[in-house]
Amino acid sequence: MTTTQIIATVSPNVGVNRAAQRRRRRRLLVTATQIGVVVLALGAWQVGADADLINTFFFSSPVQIWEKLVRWAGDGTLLSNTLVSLYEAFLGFIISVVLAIPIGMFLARSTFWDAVSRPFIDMANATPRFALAPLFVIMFGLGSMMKIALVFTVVFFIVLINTIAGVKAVEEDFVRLGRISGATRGALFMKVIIPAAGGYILAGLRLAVPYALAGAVVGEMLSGSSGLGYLVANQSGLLILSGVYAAVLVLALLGWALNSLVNFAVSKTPWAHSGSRSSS
Amino acid sequence: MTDISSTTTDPRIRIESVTHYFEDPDGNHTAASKAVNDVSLSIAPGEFVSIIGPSGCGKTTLLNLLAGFIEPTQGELSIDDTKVSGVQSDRVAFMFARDNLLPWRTTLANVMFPLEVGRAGSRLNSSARKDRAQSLLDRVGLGGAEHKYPSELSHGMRQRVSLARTLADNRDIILMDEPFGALDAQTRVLVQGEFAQIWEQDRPTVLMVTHDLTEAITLSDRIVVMTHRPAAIKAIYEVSIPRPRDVLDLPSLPAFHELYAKLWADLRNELEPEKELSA
Repeated sequence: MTTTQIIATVSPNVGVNRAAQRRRRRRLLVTATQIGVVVLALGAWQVGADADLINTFFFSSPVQIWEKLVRWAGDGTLLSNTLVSLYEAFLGFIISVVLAIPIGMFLARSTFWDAVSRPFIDMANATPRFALAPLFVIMFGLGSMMKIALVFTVVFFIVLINTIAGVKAVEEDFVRLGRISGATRGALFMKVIIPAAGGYILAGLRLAVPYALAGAVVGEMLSGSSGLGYLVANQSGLLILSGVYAAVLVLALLGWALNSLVNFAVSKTPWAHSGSRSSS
Repeated sequence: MTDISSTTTDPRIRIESVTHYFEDPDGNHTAASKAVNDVSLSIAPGEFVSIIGPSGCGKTTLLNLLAGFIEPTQGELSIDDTKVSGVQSDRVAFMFARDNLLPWRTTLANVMFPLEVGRAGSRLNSSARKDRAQSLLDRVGLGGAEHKYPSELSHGMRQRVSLARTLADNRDIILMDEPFGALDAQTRVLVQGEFAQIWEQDRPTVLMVTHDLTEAITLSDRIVVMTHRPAAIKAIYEVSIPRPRDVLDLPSLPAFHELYAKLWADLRNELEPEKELSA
C-alpha cells in the first residue's frame, strides 16, 4: 500500500472523528450553559426572596415550591392528580384521533360533502371551545367525562383540519400512479393516500398534544376535585401560590415530556424520511 | 402526411379525431379551455413515437386521455382495438414527468409498488416481487441503492428508479411524459442511452411527450410535431437513422442535423404566437 492510499483510506475517518468530537463538545457546552442559566435564575430568585426584595406571597420562592413538591410527592397528591390529568387528556385525544382521521379522509376525497361541511368546520374551529365548559359541566357532571368532552372538542378539529389538508395536498400524480398501477380503492387509500398525507396528519397530532393537556386542565380548573388543573385552582383559591407554581411546573414538565415522546415516536415512522413533505 | 406503419399492421394505439376541452369553473367549454384539437394518430406494435410541441400546448393531455385519467370531449381512443374507458391499468405503464417516487418508500419498495397493487404482481409472492424489483434495479445500474430513500438519491438516480418502476409489471405499452426533462444535460444523455438499450431489447410500444428535440430524434421511430394550444398535429417525421443508435455519437450525423433543423423550423413557427400573446 502506498502512502497516498493509506492517507486516502485513513484520513476521512480521522476527519469524521474530529467533527464528531467537536459536535459532542459543543453539545456538552450547550447543556452546561443551560444548567448554569437555571441555577443562576433560581439562585437569584431565592436570594431575592430571602432578602425580601421579592414578595414571596406573589412570587413564592424556589425552596417553598420545592418543599411543596416534596410534600405532594410524599403523600401521593402529585402522582394521583397527574394520572387523572393524563388519563383525561389521553382518552380525549384518542377518541378525537380515531374519529377525526377517517372523517377527514372521507371529507377530503368527497367534493360534495367537503363543500357542505366546510362552513360548519370553519365556524366550529373558530369558536373558543373552552366556552363550552360550563355546558359540559351540566351535561356530564363533575367527573372525568366532562374533561374528556372538552379535550375532544379541541383536539378533534385540529386533527380533522390537518387530515383534510393533508389528503388534499397529496400529489395528483401519486394518485394517478396508484390508479395506473391497478390499485383498488382500498389499496389506493392504504398505500398512497394515507402514507402521503401521513406527514400532515402527524404534524396535526403533534400540534394537538399540548391542546389535549390544556383541555383537561381547563376542565379541571372549572369543576371537580382532582387533576393538576384542580390543584392549580384549589391552591390559588387558598392563596397558596407556591402550590400554584408547583402545579404549573409539573404541568410544564408533563407537556414537555409528552412532546418529546411524540417527537420520538414520529422519528421512528417512515415519514421521518419524507424530506420536505414531512413538516418537522 | 400518410401513416405508413398503420396500414401494414394493426395499430396498438389508435387516436381518432380526438378533441378535448377542460371545463372552466362554471362547467363551460370555451375556446381558451380547448386543449386538443382534432388529433388522429396510430401507433404500430413496437413503435416508438415522440410528441413535441410548445410547452403547455396540450401534449400531456393526450397521454392522460390514453391512460384513461380523463375522458375526451369528442372522438375516440383505443388500445388493441378496445375503446379506452377508465384508467388503463391492465394495459399501459405510465412514466411521469419528474420521478414521482413515493418518498416514504425505499428504492426497492418503490419499484415493487406496481407489483404490490396491480394484477400482474398478484401472481407473484413477495420474494418473487423482490427478486424482480432487484433485477430491474440492477438493470438500470442501481444495484446497491435498494434500501435508500428517494431523498438520499440524486436526480439521475431517482429517474432511473422511476424507469425501473415503469418496467416492473412488464407492460408492453409505455406512455412517457417528459421523463428525462428534470435531469441535467449530461445525466439526461446517460439515462436516455440506458433507456434506448432497454427499449431495443424489449421493444415495447412507446408514446413519449418531450420538448427536447435531441431526445425525440435519439429515441423515436416517428416524431409528431404539435401546434401551439389547442394542440393539433402539424407534421409527422420518420426518423431514418438506423438502430442501435449511439446516443453520444448521434449529434455528429448529418441525418440528425437535417431532421433537427426541420423540427426546429416547425416548432419555431409555433412558438411565435405565444410571443405575440405575451407581448
